[in-house]
Amino acid sequence: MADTAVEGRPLDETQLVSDARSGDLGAFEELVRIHQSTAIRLAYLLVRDHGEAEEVAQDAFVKAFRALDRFREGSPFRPWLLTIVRNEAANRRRSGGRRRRLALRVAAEPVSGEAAQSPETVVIDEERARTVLVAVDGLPDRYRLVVSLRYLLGLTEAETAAVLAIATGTVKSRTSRALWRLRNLMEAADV
Amino acid sequence: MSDLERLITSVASQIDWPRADLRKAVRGRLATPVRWARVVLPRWAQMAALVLLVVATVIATPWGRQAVADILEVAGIRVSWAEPDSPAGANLDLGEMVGLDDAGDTVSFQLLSPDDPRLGAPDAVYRSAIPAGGAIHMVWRSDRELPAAGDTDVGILYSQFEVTGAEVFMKSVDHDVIVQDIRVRGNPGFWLEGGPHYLVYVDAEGMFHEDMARLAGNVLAWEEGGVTHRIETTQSLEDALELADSLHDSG
Repeated sequence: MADTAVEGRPLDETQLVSDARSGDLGAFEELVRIHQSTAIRLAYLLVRDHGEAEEVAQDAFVKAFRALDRFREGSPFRPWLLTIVRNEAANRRRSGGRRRRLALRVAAEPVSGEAAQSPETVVIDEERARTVLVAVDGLPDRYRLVVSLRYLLGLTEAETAAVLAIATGTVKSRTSRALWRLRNLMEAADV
Repeated sequence: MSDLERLITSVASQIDWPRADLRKAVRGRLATPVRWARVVLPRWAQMAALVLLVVATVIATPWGRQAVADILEVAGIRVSWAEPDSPAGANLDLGEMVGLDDAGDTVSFQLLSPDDPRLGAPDAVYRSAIPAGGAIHMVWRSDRELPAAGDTDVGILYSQFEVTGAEVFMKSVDHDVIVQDIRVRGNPGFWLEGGPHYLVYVDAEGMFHEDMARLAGNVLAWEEGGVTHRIETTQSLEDALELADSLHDSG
C-alpha cells in the first residue's frame, strides 16, 4: 500500500475504509476528498441552500465515520454515505418545518473553462439549461428525485435505488416515466 | 442514452452547485475521539460497573450526548405519527404485527408471556427482525390507570430479544437519570428512571447495535437465559417487577 501511495495513485477504497475503521483519520480524510463533491451536491438537491448543504454533508461525514463499524466491508462506500446524507437532509427538513423549495439555479458563469463561445451562444445555452432545470423541478417528487440522482448527480441505477431506498426496478420505471413527462413538458416549452 | 438524458446530464455542469472542501472541518470534529467499536466485554454479571462508568461519561460530556444522538440518526430512527384508529404502538416502528399466540414461533428463543391481571393481555404484539433471531415487542395502550409515555398512545412496552455475545447496556442521557442495580426473577438487571434512554449492545458477531428506548419512561432491564428483557413503562418499579414476576413460558 505504501508503494501505491508514493506513486500518487489513490489507495484502494476498501483499504481506505478499513484503515478509517481502525481509527486512521488520514484515510477517512481521503474518503472525504473523494466523495465530498457528490455528498454536497446531493445535500443541495435536497435542502436547496448552499450553506445548509455544506453543513448537511459535513454532519453526514462525521456520522459516517462514527458508524463505520456498521458498514459492510467490501460493499460500495458511496451509496452508504449518500444514504446518511439523505437521512441528515431529511432530518433538517423536518426540524426546519415546511419551507418553500428554492429552484435550482444556473451558475452565472460557466463552471469549467470551455472553449470561448460567442456571447449569444452562452445566453441560449443558459436559457436552455434553465428550461431543463425548471422542467425537472416541476416533476412530482418521486420522479424529480430519480432524475436528479441519475442525471444531475450521475449515480448508477443501483446507487439511486440504495439512496432512495427503493427497488432498482422502481428506479427504472420511474426514470422512464419521468423522461416521458419531461419530453412532453419540454416540447410544450419548445426547447 | 437518449438525447434528453444527455441534455439533462450536460445541464448538471451548469448548476450553481455549492463547492466546499470539508476535510478540515470534518477532521476537526473527529479529533474528539468517540470509539464505540467492537467492545469485547466480560460476562454480563460484570457489566453493571461498566454501565455506570459509560453512563457517567456520556452524561458528563456534551459530545458524548451528541454522539449518541448522531448514531441514532444514522440508524434511521425517525418520528412518525400514527392514524388515530391504528393499533397501539403503531408509530413506534416495532416491526410487523403478530398474534400473541404465534409470536413464540417467529423467534429463535423461548418467549415469555405476561400474565398480570392488572394489565391483561397486551393490546398489540410486534416482531422485528433486528437483532438476528428476532425481537418481540408487546404493547399496552395507555388508559386511566396507565399514563401514556410522551407523545405516544402507549403505557408499557415489553421487549425480548436474544443477545448471545457480550453486551453493553448503556442508557442515557439526562442529568437526573437514576440507575439502580436490581435482581429480577433471580437474574441481574437494573432499573433506570428519569430522562430518555438508549440501549446499546454488541451481539455475538461483534456487531454493534443501538436501540432507542421508545418510550420516554422508566426501564427495567435484565438478562435471563441468554435473552434480554426490557420493560419500558410509565409506572413504578414495583409495578414493573409485578409484570416481570407474572412472566411464564409461552406456548
